[in-house]
Amino acid sequence: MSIRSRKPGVTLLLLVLLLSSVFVLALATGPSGIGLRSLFVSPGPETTRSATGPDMAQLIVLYIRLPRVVLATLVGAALGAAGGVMQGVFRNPLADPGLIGVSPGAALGAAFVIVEGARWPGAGGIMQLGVPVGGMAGAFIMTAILNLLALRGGGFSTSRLILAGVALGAFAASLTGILTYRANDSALRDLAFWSMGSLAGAYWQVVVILLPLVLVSLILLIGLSRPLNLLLCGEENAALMGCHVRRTKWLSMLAVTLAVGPCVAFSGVIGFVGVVVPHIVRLFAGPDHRFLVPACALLGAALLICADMIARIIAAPSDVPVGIVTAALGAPAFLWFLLRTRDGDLPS
Amino acid sequence: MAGEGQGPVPARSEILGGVMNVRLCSRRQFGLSALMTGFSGASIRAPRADGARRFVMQDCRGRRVAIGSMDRIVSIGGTVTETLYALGMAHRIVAVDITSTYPPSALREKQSIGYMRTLSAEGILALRPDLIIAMNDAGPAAAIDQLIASGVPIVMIDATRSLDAVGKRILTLSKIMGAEQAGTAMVVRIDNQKRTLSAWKSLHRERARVLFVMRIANGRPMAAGADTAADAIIGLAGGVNAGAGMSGYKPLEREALVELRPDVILMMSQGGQAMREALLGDEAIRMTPAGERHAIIDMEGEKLLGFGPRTVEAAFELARQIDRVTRPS
Amino acid sequence: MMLRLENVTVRRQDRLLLDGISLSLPAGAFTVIVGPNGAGKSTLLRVAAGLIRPERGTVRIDGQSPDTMPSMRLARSRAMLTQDHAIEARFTVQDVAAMGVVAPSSGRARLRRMVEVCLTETGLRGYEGRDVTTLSGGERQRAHLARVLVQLRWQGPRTLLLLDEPVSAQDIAHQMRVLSLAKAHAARGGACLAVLHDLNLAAACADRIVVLDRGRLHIEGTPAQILTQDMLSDVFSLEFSRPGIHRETMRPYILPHDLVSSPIVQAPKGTLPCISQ
Repeated sequence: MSIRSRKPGVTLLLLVLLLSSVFVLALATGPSGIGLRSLFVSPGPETTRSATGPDMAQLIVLYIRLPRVVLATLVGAALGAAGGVMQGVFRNPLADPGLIGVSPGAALGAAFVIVEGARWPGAGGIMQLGVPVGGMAGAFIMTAILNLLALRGGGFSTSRLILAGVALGAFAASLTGILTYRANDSALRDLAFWSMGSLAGAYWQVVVILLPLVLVSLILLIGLSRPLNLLLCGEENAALMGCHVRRTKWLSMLAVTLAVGPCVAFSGVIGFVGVVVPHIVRLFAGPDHRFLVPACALLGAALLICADMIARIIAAPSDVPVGIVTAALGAPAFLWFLLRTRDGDLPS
Repeated sequence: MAGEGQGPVPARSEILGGVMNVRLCSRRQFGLSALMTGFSGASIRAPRADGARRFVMQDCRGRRVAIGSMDRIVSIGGTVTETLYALGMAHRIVAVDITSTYPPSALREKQSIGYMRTLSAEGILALRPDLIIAMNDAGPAAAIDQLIASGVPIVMIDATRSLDAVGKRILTLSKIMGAEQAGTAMVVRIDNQKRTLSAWKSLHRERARVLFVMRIANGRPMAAGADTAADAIIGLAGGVNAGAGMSGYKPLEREALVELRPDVILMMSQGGQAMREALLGDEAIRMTPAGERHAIIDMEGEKLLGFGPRTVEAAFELARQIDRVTRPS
Repeated sequence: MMLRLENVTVRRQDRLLLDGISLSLPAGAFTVIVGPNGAGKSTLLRVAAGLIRPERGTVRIDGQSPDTMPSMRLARSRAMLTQDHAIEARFTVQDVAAMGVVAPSSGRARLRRMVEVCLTETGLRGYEGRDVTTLSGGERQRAHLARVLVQLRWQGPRTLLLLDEPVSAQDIAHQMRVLSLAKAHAARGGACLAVLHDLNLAAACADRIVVLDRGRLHIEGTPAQILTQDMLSDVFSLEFSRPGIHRETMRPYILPHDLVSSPIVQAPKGTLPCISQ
């Protein structure tokens, strides 16, 4: 018998519990050793003696940790849910947003702002929002071009999409390469760290921008779950059951771009979450996208919060790029997971 | 350094002169050894307005920063750290970033906060600093914003790579530390070195073509073009940057390298003997005047490229070495 | 008329797949399409389902063009069992059976009952919780059939059922079961159009038979009108078959005579086998 639970509702509830506990844990953990209690406890004798009084505790928890944990939640949820949908649309266990040009596009846009922005005088202030805006623009432009290419054949065939995506991705990568070549020393370093992925850019303005985008895209992604289920029976069978196959694919790409583009733009490239989370969820909650997509969002958020918590404290007082943590911890964990399950339990 | 482990020293108003051994401390200053081993939360009390000197200064971003005590400084940027050490303020530093390579003891005896462009706001605040001094190109921007918002005084230092900026940086830092006299003395000494250098340059008018090789990447030398610190120091030393035709640090194609005809190849001593051998072993480099004469100069990276207090010294040393290796024997 | 095709022509890359086909299917009728490989049988079903828009000609399902119907309404008025039985996910059999229907929360119980009925009718009772990826080919085909039946019955009896080789993976007992389900659908007031390869099965169950040959409608009529030596030799190039009438069912049948007394079998040793004309 498979390890899969017969009650997806229970799985979702457990994931909600996991996410909330991880959220609180991450909020209470940090290099400064300030716990949540210091927020509520009136300054006792021990806090007055240290340089970090209650004001500092409040500042650290509310303005440094909280936006960062919320950002990790949003980015993790978006990456997880988008990964689940991508694998459904492409019916490919390795499909990720990179396949439809979102990540290469965002990388190109961000690289453009990092490299060319460095040449504009007094660009320091603009850079902060310029890089994400450039990243988002890159992601959307890339997806739009890809959609046009895929639609031209009259159909919207998956293989056409993948081939066009690979070619466009390579082209975007070469443009990014040109930018890298043109980059000055500091831009080069920024570029390198951006490509490793980090949530260090978290502050409330970022969260405020990202929150509606991620929420809208999550609603879209979850709304796509029935047509995605139908697609698992083959495109023709799905169409016969009333699924608008072309519209479903088109909407999925829009939703994935809307979810992942801004996240990649703000946090750089964070690998592993989007590919592996859906596989883990499928083992527990089955293939039904109505549970799979929300479960991927919940687990993705929980995992990224954990990874970022580790990134924050492992080399304190300095900060490790979270992309390194997700890959370094996630990949072996997933391999262990693979070894524990038999072939029959794996999604085909 | 003198005065190690001594008790409270005179407050700022009673400073004595002297270049290197001036120590500026508030009345609450404890021994250096205590600082080195790190305070527990209890051994240093939150500074009060009545004890520490308080003043407001404008940093390079035009922000007005109120500075109080400065017993737990986080120094971000190799030049800042080097200057603070030169001002005799090492004992006040709790942490430095990993670009603080000079003096070499800095990274050994202080906490490291990682690379200056990937700072963690909470990590730095966890050190309970009372003053943060950072080069203006430190980042990420969000971390700097959070540090500013934290209320801990943070002074951003202009990061321009030029000789004028070197003097300004020293004066700014010495003003912050209340060590104006030491700072002025350093600047005066640098001005003297500058005069010596220009006098030397007026006597040695041949301008050698110098190529700075940052490292060898995939068998190709990464060389400095225009708009680099290496370009600036070569100019200061009276040389001509052979790579001035390009911009930034770029990998050089072999044939192009021969065409640049460098008389001297300059590298950082961190590259070591291995890099020197790699350079001399390169066919293309052997075809250049520098290769024929084995004219390879190396110098410590922070001194050469940091645009800190030793810049003019570095330029002078470079100028003399260029002269030595290019002079026909 | 549940289904009416008029002068339907479909072309793909200069090749005519269907050439001026007209066909109508009244409510209550079970019509079977037969024809040699590549005659355009599956294409005709796809056109009837509204999956392919013909180059020329019109399609009407219950009087309406599938192009103008909202996709969900179209899905409620016709359903089709295709030859693609793959499911690339580990759904359970009952998940698959219920997939074609969007039930409002008030209709959940009705859907559950309907799924149960259809699984029983397709012989999948007891398979409800089975993972479809572990089913045999025939079982999976029937799981899809159950899904198609649920999709149609949710709406009511006056619907169009399209079956593309519904018994291709079934043993003889299940062949009977599947075809009787198709007949029952027609008897309840719906209409059924099925592609079959077995002429005897077609003759035994169909009200009408349509013979397609190279994209054209060769002949249409009752089984007795269709199963003639002329049709067999014109369409299938079968020269020595013997259509007869079954004594009990009074339905026509054929015995592929070539197979029992073929010259290939009788060829003397050492000579090249050849089919005599």
